Amino acid sequence: MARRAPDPKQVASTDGGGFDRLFEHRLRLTIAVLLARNDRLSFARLKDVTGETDGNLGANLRKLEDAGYVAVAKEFADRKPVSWYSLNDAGRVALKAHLASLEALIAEANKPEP
Amino acid sequence: MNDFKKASEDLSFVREAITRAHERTSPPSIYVLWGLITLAGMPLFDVDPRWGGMFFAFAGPIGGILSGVLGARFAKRIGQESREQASQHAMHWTAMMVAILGVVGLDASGAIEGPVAGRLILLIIAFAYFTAGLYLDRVELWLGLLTFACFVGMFFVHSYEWTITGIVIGAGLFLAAAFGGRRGSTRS
Repeated sequence: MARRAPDPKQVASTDGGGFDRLFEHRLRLTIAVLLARNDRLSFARLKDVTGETDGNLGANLRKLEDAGYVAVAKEFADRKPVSWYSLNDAGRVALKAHLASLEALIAEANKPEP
Repeated sequence: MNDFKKASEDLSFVREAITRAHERTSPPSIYVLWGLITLAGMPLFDVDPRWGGMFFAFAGPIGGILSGVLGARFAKRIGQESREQASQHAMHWTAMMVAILGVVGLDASGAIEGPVAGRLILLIIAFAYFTAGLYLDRVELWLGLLTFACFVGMFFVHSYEWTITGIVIGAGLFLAAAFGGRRGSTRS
């Protein structure tokens, strides 16, 4: 099946402050961080560690996939389909930038008042 | 809700998920494997240290290779694959084996006596488990403490000390298999 091109309207962009709008949703941020720390995770594993429902997890994974941040590969294990997710280079770059902005925000908030 | 509070809450959510993802990275089957090897091999040192040495000369590397296979299958089964993590495990336990080989070399060269070599190897294993517990699997920290307790016990027990050690550590490994961390999703 041909992979459809990402919807430009859903492609993430920063909000000017360095934050990636896609990662402002905590589940998508969590997914990206988990994928950054591993080569790949299955849908079932992501559901297990995030505690999310199939629908919510699937919808957010699709948003990340449409933005070109996440790749999905379908395999079979014991004759059952398994979807494996991995973070693309674009996703890594975007995540790194978003986390840097988060760090800066927290550092700013922790500065003592003059 | 201001940006800072949202960011903090989001990061807590992320942190919890990361913790859940790393609650267990070694499958129970590996602990069962080494429990069986320990129970079978350690008592041999009380019968004839050469038999024990020969047993572990084969069982050690074979057990290591099997552990790698079991680990890879586990990663695929629970749906979490990481070459970095796999190589961390491999390097850690390979380093332990190299250290043990060093002690075996010292024993073979006559630099140290056999009983001392055996206790040194037990101390190395205790240290390896303990440090693995710090950054690989938390349950191994307790195995490290248990093994160290056996090492200390050897100064006081002079009869069937290796059999007792084998039973204690073997039991610890089986308990680690049964109770050490979540098993991860069994769905693929």
